Amino acid sequence: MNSKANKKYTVMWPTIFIAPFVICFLIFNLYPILYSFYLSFTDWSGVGEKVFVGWGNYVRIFTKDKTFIKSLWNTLYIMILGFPVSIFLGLIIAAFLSNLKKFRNFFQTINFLPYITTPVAIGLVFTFLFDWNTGVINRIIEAFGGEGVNWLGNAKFAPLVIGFMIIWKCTGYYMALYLAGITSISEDIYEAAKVDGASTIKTFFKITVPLLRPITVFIVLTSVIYALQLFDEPNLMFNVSTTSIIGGPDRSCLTMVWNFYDVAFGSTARLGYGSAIATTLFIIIVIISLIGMKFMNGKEEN
Amino acid sequence: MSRFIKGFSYLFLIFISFISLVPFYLMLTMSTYKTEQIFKGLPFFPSDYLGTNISTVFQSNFIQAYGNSLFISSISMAVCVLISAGVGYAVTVYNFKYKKFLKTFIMLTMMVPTQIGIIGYMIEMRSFHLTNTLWPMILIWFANGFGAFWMIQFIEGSLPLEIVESARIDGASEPRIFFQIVFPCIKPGILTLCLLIFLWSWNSYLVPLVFVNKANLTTIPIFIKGLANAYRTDYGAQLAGLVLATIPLLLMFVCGSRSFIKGLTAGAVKG
Amino acid sequence: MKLRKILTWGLASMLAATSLAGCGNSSSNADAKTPTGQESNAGGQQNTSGDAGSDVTTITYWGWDTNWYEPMIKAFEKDHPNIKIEVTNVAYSDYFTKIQQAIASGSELPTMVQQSCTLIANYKELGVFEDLTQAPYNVDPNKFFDFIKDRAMTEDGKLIGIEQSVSPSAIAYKRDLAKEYFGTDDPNELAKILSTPEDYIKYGKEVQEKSGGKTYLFHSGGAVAEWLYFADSTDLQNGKTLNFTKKMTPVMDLLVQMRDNKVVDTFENGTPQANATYAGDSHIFYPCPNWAITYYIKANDPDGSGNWGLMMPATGGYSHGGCSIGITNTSTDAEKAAAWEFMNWAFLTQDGVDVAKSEVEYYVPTKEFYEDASYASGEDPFFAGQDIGGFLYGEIAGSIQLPTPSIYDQTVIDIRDLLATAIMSDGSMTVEKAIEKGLEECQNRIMDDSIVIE
Repeated sequence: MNSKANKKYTVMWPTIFIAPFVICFLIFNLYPILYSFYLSFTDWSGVGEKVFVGWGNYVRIFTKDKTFIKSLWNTLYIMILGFPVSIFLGLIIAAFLSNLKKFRNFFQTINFLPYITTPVAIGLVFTFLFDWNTGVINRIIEAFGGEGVNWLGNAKFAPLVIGFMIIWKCTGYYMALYLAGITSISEDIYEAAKVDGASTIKTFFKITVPLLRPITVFIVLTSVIYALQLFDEPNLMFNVSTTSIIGGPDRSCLTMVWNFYDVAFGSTARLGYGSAIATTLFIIIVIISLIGMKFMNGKEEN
Repeated sequence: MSRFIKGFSYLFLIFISFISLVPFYLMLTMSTYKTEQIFKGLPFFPSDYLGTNISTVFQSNFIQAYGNSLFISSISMAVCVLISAGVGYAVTVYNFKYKKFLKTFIMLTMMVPTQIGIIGYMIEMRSFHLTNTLWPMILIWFANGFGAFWMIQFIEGSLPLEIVESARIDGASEPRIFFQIVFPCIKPGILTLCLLIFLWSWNSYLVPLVFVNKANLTTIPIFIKGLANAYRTDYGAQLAGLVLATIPLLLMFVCGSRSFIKGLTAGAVKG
Repeated sequence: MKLRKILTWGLASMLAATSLAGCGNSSSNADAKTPTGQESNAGGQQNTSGDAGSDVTTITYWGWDTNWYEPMIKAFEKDHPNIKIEVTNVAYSDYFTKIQQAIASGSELPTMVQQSCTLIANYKELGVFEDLTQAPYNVDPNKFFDFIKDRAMTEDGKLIGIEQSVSPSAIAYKRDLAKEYFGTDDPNELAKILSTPEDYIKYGKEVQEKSGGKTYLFHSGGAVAEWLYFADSTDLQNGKTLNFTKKMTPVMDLLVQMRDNKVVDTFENGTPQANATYAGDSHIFYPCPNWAITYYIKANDPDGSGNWGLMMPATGGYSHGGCSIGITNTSTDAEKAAAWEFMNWAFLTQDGVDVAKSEVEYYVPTKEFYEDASYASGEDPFFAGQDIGGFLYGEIAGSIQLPTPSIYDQTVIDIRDLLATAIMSDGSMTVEKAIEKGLEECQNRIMDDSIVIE
């Protein structure tokens, strides 16, 4: 009817409200990635001229650079060690908590504590817990007559420690998300299940879990993206002194982003090659995200 | 059966909570020890060195780092939440041409790993002449994909459109509706996002690692990391600093834990 | 409920207050290109008089060794009220890339840069340093000890920095443990007993047996590898060839033997846990450069005065670490002049040299000061009256030979640490396996395909 007033609500105000986000995203998030993409075709240490090398950096990543391939496997390995357990535990804790009347807030806050702890602190405390010679864990093992394990110095165990660190840290966050989801499931559904005589366990698997599917998809997707960018935890764990080895023992905890950081800002300043690693990483993450989004959209159509 | 499950769930929760607490508790007790003593015994009980550790921390640049971190996190949080809420509001309240596209776009931005563009970001900040300021560590939070996605979910789920319409009939302008009418309605969502963005930017490590190259730009994580002078790691002082650094987060979450879960509930339901 | 409200408000107002403070702070940082009135975090003292006079020159310095720069700058600023030195502490491991980053991101380089000797060849390539042999500096490299005078010099004769200190290294030991297991705490007698590298294995085994497995000769494989590696003066790089195998095999060979015979404990070098062993009684010997006396021994064993000794290693004296200080050519002339005033004071004049000696126990590599015999030598009570200075700067410094620096020094050193840890943590790791792994690491980390790695 009144097209002028209409335009105000379909063009002007939406633009005003959305523009800050889009503009900031383009300037501070997208442009840097595109610029990195451009740099990935050069050989540049930040000093002197950029030398154009075409696909050279990418060829090196996939044919010669064993460190990159290793960092890829390391990342996937740590991801598989940590996140499934963490998500599962989060779900279980949330399920238990939702049944509680007393102490719910108390448990909830305590289990959320690890998530707010600064990664620097986590790194420090965990090196203290898992140290071969003086660590608490080994003292306990020895007290029970076992032999101390070189958790942090052995390439077999170090990723396990990082995995445990992730479980310890993230479980509370997933718990909070699941708890929120469970709280929002209508009581009527449970009442109906009770009337039908379904057991608690059956109700949990037949009703709660399927209804939580959207949250699970959300959690899985965000944690995969988080895992692929893992850097803080392993870096803070294994970068404690000047003589520390990059990537932990035998580089077993060198994640992709740590490798990227090391190439670009760590032991060398190869910004061109670092950009190529970043771009590769970016593509991997986007592919995984797109697959994940298919899942998310799939559920909406249902 | 049900009683058994209840008993078991209490036990299980106590066990898990114990594991959650131990490292946190150790952080507290270890901060009361002299570094040399930490490795000699099990520091399960507090010692008497906290004062010295804290004064070591304060003798160095701690207050500056604390101030910088608070500044970075507060500005990042405020701007990010405002921008995100704007997007959520627009998507919920208006009908416009590229709405569906925009929603997909925002979902995509959530997947974009921001820290991976840091090389380009560094060069960009250089051309803006911002490399010697705190801004590089703030600007990167402004357009946060997660934040925008979150606000869309939350506002779509919890804002009754009638309120907006009746306000319009009353002649309120759009910004007024947004700030004075919608904001109070979506308070739990705003609070939750505030907490998360504050937390993430407070603990952020990689970006400051690249951008902090002056003592007066340092942030808490970088500062604590640097408390280890090159050859002697002052564990005790580092931990004392970390305890102090965790206090604001702890306060925020303890105070806001109820609305935090509430906010999560409304935002996460639809995933 | 009420409490919660109060807490929330308190927190909010705290946030607001600090944000405002932080805001003022950061904007003034951004605007002020020459922040004359700023507090130097070196001494923590405020220069209140500096604000009034506009003739104060502020220069910047990035450093990792607080022990050196804090007292030096404090003493210098006291004598030179017209110069302020603003320090940023940068971790040793990040230092070089922070410099590269500053160049890449266009942020200001510090006026003075501390150039680690393991990266000196890389610093030469940057091309951002003043040539100190030219006016107005006119430094004559022949003033310095012969073995060290070319280290910071480029192939075309530019001197990019002055060495901060000579870094002669020996082996430190705990006297009480030496007496217990070797029957003597005299450095010369100990050096006679342990006169070849194999002796360490022989006696290390004995010490293990006597102590029932509790006491080791050394605490960390990394520390031992570091010592053995630096004690070898073979050049790492010959033209386009990297002599990795030749340089690393003897080091790793001895380390494997030491591991198998439990001569060396399994601490990881440089970690807090490892540093705590200095004050313990399970490890006798520590490879010890001059700077480690203050940084490691005194810092970690403050109550150990009188219980330490310093002896000649079986490998002979060697040089470990050290760094030079250079002036960046991006600085203004006034900054360069002020920086030079500091360096001249610190390395070439009696006042500064005396401060370095008395506060940090650093001895400059400038030959003329040693003409006064009492400069370096003297009894050291921490070492039970032993003449540490005379030993390190006379006997050891006189015998040091340095390999030619390579731009791959730091890369190979990193790999050496990786291999040392791998050997110590995996009892089945042989020398051959370690070298093979090392070669693969070299291939991965060295981008230049024209370099032949052997």
